[in-house]
Amino acid sequence: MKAKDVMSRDVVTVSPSARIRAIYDIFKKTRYGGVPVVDKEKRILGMVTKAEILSVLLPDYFDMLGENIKFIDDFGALDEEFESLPAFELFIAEDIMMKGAITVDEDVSLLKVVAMMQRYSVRRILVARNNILEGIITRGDICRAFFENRDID
Amino acid sequence: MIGPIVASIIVLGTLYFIISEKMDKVIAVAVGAILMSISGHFLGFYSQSKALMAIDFNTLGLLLGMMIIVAMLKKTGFFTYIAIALAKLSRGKPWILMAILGISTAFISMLVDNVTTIIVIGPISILVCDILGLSPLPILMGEILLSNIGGVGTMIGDPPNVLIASASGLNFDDFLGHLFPVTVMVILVSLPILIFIHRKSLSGKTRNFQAILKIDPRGAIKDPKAMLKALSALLITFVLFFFHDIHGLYPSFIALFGAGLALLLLRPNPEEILHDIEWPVLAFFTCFFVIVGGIEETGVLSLLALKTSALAKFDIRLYKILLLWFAGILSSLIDNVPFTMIMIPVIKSLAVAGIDIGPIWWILAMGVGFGSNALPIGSSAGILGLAISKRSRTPIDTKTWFYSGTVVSVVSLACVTVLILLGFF
Repeated sequence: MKAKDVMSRDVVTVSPSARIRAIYDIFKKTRYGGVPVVDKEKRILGMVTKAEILSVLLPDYFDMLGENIKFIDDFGALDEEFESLPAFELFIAEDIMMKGAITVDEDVSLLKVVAMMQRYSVRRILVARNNILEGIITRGDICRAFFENRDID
Repeated sequence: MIGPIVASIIVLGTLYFIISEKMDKVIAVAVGAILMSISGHFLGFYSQSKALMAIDFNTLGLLLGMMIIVAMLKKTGFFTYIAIALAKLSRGKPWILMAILGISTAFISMLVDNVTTIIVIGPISILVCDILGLSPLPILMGEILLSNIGGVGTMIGDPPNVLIASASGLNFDDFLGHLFPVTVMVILVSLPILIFIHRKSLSGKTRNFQAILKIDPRGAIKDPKAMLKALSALLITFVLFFFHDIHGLYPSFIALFGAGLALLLLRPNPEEILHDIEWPVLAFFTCFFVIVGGIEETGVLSLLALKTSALAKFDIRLYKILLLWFAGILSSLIDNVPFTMIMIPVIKSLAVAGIDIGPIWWILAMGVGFGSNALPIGSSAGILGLAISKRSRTPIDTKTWFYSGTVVSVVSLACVTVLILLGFF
């Protein structure tokens, strides 16, 4: 099997200027956990997943605190702000996206797709030619290919 | 004649690449060191054995030993414990918080290098400010400046002091006797200035002080036994530094003894500890020693010293003041390590010209230490502190640095100038 045999060609994408709420609405409607960000020519710019949305909620320096957040239960003023977060709605795809994306060519073997998913700990891989989006393969697509569409002799 | 010219070109070329950041500075000094050794070998001004001897293993051992001890102490959560415990003492008053965190940062960086101090204190301080609903900018700014100031206070506080100690033979107690009092004075002068500059964001009381009171800082300590072991290794190291007259051990052997003791007591995974050691810093020192050794052999540096010794003989006070500000201004622009390394042979040559260089060493240490605060690029703690601040909601901008860092730097150097005029140095 090749990547093109399992990929979905009908990919839901967002533009770089898409509002964070619009992206959330897509997640809610489609049950996807991530969407590619593409420009008008379908060139891949990046990827927004639920993890990117969550990271907007946290201040940037939190990754430098390491284990030091373990013993703090009440974050005072930060908690209040976390719940209101006035600027939250203003974020657009371009601000929060993970720049670039893990892509494969449509002719690569499925084994490579699985290996890339595990190596980069991603749930979905974009299929592209010259960085132009052609399809998407999710973990579900691969599982389906193995459990459902196989002739077992 | 060709030797001195080639050696000078190599030194200036290396410095150009370090300052312009056109390539990683470790690569710049590595190439410089190799070029210096090879050209010295063929042109006859430097030999391979002399290049190897130029590497000061006393400095490298001291740096390495301290890095190992601190790497282990850092992992125990000790510094977070200190920061939270001290924050609770502020009674919710922002200016008291700034003073407490600033002073403790200065004292920590007397024992630990400035960069580590900022890495361990910076992010937790931003968190404390955020919990209190306070702008972290003044507090982080104060910590960066005071860590550089504090570093001047002891023999191991800052790499230039380590270099000066190794080159001059001045010991831990000499540094404690001469630089520690000045450092305390500069802290006491700088802190009120910083609080005054940032008085607007430090006024009033914080409304969420209860949230800080609720935190039990002991939670930060991952393993109390490990912490006590690491702290005792550090303490024993300092006691040995202090009583060096009795045992006569070199600083590097003391630091490595402390590191060995800490490793023995804590039994960490060595691979993890080795990973925490700043190898690029050690590589930079090693290579720059070779470069400076080469230019020293050509006699260019002693010529430089000879030219300036006329002024020193004419008016030694004026000479000291000029050196202080020259060192200060230069180290605000470039990393103070290469500058100190080049100045060491120059100062040694002054002794040959019959000048009492005892006080000159202190002037150099204070000039590069206090001067490095003038611009964010002047110190590693500044560069790193700025990067940490960019991750908070109120990043330090150039204008803020100018009002805080440049002012504090000029005031610190002015304090030293007064001390020189009064005859203390």
